[in-house]
Amino acid sequence: MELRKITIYGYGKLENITFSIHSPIHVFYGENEAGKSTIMSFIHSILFGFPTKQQTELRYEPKLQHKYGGKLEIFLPEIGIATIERVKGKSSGDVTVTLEDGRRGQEELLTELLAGIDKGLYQSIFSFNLHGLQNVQQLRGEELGRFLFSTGAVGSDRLLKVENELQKELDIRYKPSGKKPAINEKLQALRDKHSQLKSAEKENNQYEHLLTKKRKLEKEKQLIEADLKKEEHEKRLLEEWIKIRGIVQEKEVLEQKLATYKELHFPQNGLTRWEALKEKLLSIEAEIRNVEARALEIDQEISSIPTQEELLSAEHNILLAVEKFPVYEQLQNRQTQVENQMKKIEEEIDSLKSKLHLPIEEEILLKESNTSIFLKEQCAQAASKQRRLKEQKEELDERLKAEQAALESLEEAVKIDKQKLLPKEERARLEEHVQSDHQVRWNKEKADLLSREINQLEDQGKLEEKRMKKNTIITSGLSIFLLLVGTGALVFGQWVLTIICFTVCVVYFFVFLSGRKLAKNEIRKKEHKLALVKEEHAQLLVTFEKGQGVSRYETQKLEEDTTRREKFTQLQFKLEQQNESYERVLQGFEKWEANFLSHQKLLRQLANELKIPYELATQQIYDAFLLIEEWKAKDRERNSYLQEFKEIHQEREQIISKISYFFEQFMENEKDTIANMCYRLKTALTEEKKKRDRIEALQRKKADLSEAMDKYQTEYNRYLEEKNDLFSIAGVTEEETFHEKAAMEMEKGKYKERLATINGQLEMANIAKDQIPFYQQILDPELQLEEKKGILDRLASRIQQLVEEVAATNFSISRIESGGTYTDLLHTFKQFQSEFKEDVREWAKFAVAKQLLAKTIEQYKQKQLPAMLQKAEENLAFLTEGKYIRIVPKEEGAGFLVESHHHLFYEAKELSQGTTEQLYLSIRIALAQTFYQNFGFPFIIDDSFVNFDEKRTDKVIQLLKKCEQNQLIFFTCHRHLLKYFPDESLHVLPAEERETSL
Amino acid sequence: MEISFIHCADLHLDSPMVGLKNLPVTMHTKLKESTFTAFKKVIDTAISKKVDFMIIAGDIYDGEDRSIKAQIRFRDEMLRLEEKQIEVYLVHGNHDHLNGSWVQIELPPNVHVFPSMVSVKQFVKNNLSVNLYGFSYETRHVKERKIDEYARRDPAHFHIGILHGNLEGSTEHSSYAPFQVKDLLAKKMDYWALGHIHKRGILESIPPIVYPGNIQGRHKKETGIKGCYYVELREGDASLEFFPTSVVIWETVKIDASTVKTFNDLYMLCRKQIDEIGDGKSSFIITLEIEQLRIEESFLDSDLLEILQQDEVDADSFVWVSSIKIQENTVWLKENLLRESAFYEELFAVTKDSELLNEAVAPLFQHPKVHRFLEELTTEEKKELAEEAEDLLLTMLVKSER
Repeated sequence: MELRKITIYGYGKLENITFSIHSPIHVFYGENEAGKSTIMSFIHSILFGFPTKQQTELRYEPKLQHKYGGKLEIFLPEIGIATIERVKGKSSGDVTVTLEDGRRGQEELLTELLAGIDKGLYQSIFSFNLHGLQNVQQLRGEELGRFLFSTGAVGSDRLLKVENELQKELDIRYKPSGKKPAINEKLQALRDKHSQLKSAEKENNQYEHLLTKKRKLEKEKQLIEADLKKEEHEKRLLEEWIKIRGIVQEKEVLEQKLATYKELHFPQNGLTRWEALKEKLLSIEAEIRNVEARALEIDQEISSIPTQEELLSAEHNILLAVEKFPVYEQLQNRQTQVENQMKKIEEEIDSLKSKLHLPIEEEILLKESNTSIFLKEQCAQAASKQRRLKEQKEELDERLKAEQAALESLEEAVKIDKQKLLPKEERARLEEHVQSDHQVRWNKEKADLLSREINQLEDQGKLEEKRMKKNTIITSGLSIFLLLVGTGALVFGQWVLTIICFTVCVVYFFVFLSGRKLAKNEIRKKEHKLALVKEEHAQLLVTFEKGQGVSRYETQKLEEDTTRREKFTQLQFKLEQQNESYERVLQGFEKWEANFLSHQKLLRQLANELKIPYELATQQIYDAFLLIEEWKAKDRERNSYLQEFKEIHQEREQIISKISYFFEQFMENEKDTIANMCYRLKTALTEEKKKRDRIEALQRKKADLSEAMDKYQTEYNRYLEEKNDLFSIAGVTEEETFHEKAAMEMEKGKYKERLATINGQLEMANIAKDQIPFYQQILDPELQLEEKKGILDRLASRIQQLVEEVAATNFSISRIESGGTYTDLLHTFKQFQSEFKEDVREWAKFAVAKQLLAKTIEQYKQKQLPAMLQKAEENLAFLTEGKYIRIVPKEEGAGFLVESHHHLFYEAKELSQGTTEQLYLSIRIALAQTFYQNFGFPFIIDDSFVNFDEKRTDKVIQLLKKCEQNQLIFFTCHRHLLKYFPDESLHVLPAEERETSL
Repeated sequence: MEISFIHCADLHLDSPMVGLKNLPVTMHTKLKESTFTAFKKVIDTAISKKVDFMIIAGDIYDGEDRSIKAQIRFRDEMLRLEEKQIEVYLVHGNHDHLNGSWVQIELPPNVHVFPSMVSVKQFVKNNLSVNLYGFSYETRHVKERKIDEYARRDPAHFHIGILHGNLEGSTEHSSYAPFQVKDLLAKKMDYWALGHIHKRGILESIPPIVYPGNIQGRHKKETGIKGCYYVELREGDASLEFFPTSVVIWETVKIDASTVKTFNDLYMLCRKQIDEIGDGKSSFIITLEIEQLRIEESFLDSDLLEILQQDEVDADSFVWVSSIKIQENTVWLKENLLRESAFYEELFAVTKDSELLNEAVAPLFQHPKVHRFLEELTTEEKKELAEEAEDLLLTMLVKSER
């Protein structure tokens, strides 16, 4: 492949530049910053794509608005000319390939043209720059050898780098004797975990042992528990035996004693029963004695009481008499009252007598006067009529007097008023005067109205005349003007105008004349009316003067007279009325006198009936009647009292005689008051009654006592029988011996009772009866008990111990069963192991890769290298002018040995700097000449040989020129190198200012 | 004429859960308990279904790690079955072989353990008899064809073979008590209750030859829902019903990232895929396999993992991303490199050399103190490792230039 033409649209600072290349060797010369690197980069970019943004290389994208990219024209032996154009597009740019035969394509076609070579490979095989040589300068020792080998193999230090990198990765992960690397660390941790796990596993192995132990312990525990139970039971029995031991002994003693009392007979509860019986006997004996004594006492008392039998037999009569005594006292009181009453009535009758003061005899009056209800009524009416008549007369007298006085005063008033009235003629005259005065006032008002009308009419006439005058002036003015115009027009020959003016003038004049005539008529009418009104006014004024005579006084006088006349008529009417009432009073007097006479007749009749004098009757007939009636009543009362008084006296005498009789009979004949007598009689009676009651009570008591006596006696006999029974059972007769037997019986009972208690206690005890003899044989039960207690303590503590051991064992078992630490450890260990494995796996990847590389290098050394080395030897010999003749790979690893013409072998590190560089170049060029021979890509050399002296440079260039299949593109800033190249193959790049450089 | 039973295997009780860095404690606790919880679910199923008996086809415990806790928990579950009068027939497998040195916990009488010789045990119910055949592993390795020792013994209404072993020809597993399907068919059993393979599988339907798989996944390779089979056997007929028991489900999620342009896109895609998995009921532990990824941004797998792990917090039904595997397309790279230099030709030639790998890992795998914590690499692992190493090397070689 050859480059023919470079066209740059825009790349870095370069714009629109085209370089044509015609020779197999081409040189770009320029100073620093002239754009050599830019062109180099451009060639790479067009062929292999723009550097992407992720890559470290410069993209050379123009800063200014220029198209990014350009094209290359290349020549390919099999295809011919091809154009590769690459412009901005996707990150590596959009490429278009156009072939000579018109084929076009993109990336795929380009890849085909380049035979799959990529940028890296191209650079490592065909590009020479300072970098490669610098490596040669810097690397020392093994590295250098490996570097040269890497270059020999793949054209660059790639192998070296990868080898180093792999080693680094391996070292990070694992070092055989290291501690830090991950695998070393993990391994340590894993081993720790493993040993922990192993120890946990051992614990697991104890599990079975623990189970057995647990079983054993539990069995032992069961046995001991049974023992403990047994011992405890025995201990309890022993304790009980100690308790009941005394009782058992006592029982035996008691049983012996009871045997001696076998023949003893004694009634049940004998002693108690005897004691009770004896008690009863004694008390009954005492009772009997007591009753006898009391009977004697009563007899004595009865005989000591004195009695008076007669008094008691007369008791009824005496009591009747004595009971009358309070009546006696009442009667006495009543007698005194009646006497007093009678005296009072006498006095009242005396006062009535004096009030009436009648001349007639008392006896007759009381017997004959009629005091019936009927008469009483008549008397009352008569008395009131007498009073009424008297009052009527007084009233009539008074009225008569009043009427007479009123009549006289009225007659006087009428007479006075009649004189005051005006005479008839005078009055008629006054009336006429007043009438005419009214007519005058009305006329005056009318005259005023007319005079106002006159004024109005006169004003209207004046106004009319003024208007007429004004109209005349205007009309005449206008006519004159029109005539003048008409005349003017005539003068100037305006006929038509003249005629119009004259016509208008004439018409107007006529209209004015007719209007004036109408106005004059109106004025005339008004004047006529004015004259009429004036006339009327004058007439009225005449009437005024006539009515001027009527005065105010006259009017007043007429009115006064009218009033008086009315008053006079009223008085006359009143006088007539007064006369009539006077007549009526006189008639009343006559009537009263008739009434009075008839009443006197009645009064006389009544007085006769009452047997009283007429004079008294005329004055107080009713009062007299009342007094007589009262008198009669009092007289009857006095008689009844007198009767009562007699009866009382008689009764008193009777009572006194009876009481005195009894007193004399039973008491001493001494005198005493009736009251005392009664009292003493009564006392004696009571006394006597009491004595009788006492005797009766005593006798009743005595009967009771004798009855009780009988009862006690029977009881006493019964008890005696009982006593005999008791004594006969006991086989005794004397009380003393009975007591002795009783004492014996009691003792026997006590023993029996005690024995029963003991038997009960023994029955309650846990020791069976048949076991007692066994216990009785034990000599010292207390000691034995102590021993038992000791055994029990030992057993209990052993059980406690076992329980604890079982618990501990159970705990261990459950810990293991639940997995405990073992499972956790196991899982952690497995996790660690898995991580470890992963790490190892990763390490293995690198280890294998490294091994792979090493092996490949080995293979390569043997199979591929010799061909390349042969060429390299030739190159080296050429460059060193036969100083070094052979290059051989090292036996082990990557590296070369170089043989000098003295047949000495040198390692790369032993060679001089210059020789090493020559070796490097030999190998690089040999690589292109051998393995990549078919590609025929141009060499691109970027000032690689700056450190070479002239001779060496010359040699290198000669060597490169020998590679005829590869075009040579040489970039340099060294002028002295230019002489090795023909001028036609030179492009000088202009120097740029620093500011614009990239 | 019908019997019903539960068939489960490979309980691996108290099996440690590994490979879960950064897993929050609550989830980890749940995971640690998961084998027990799953087994409890099996027992619950047995009780609710009122089965006649239960078959456990080996590997009850996880081997030397047979913890007492696991045994006690197992016994407790057996006691629950005893209470319901459900018999249990079990064999021990390679993990919990009889020769181990663990503490023996006594099991209730309803549990019938087969001895190391193939033998028969009879189950009788209402004049209905079932013969069960099986054996327990005496040692860790039983390589002989035990199937040859099985022989049907009449009379019985049903015959059930219990076998903990490996189907011949499946390379993934080392061959324990190997057998072939035709061997099993030849025994004329009504049901073959197999164990050992953790992946569920029905090898034959008439008669059923069944690997129920394990009851709870234990690492990222034991993916999917795990459980046990409820079986009803009738004359000449059998019906199977699968009951899920897994508490935490391991899944591998492959994500085609060919459309992804940026890291954020990738994260969003992963997030979406993860969210689709969660069903709100089960918990998941996910391995993400991102394929066809070609983005220019460079990032660390661990960064992506960390971001994804930050999101899940709910301990009841979580979706946890445990690891991420990113496969970059390296085919194109290899082709280019081959053209580039003869050196790579040699490289690819060398990769085929398996001895090289052994040499490379020898410093650790042969290390006297280390190798006991490691397991010998299987062929498959080696292959994987070699590929990864090659990819790594290539990537480094290519990237170092850029």
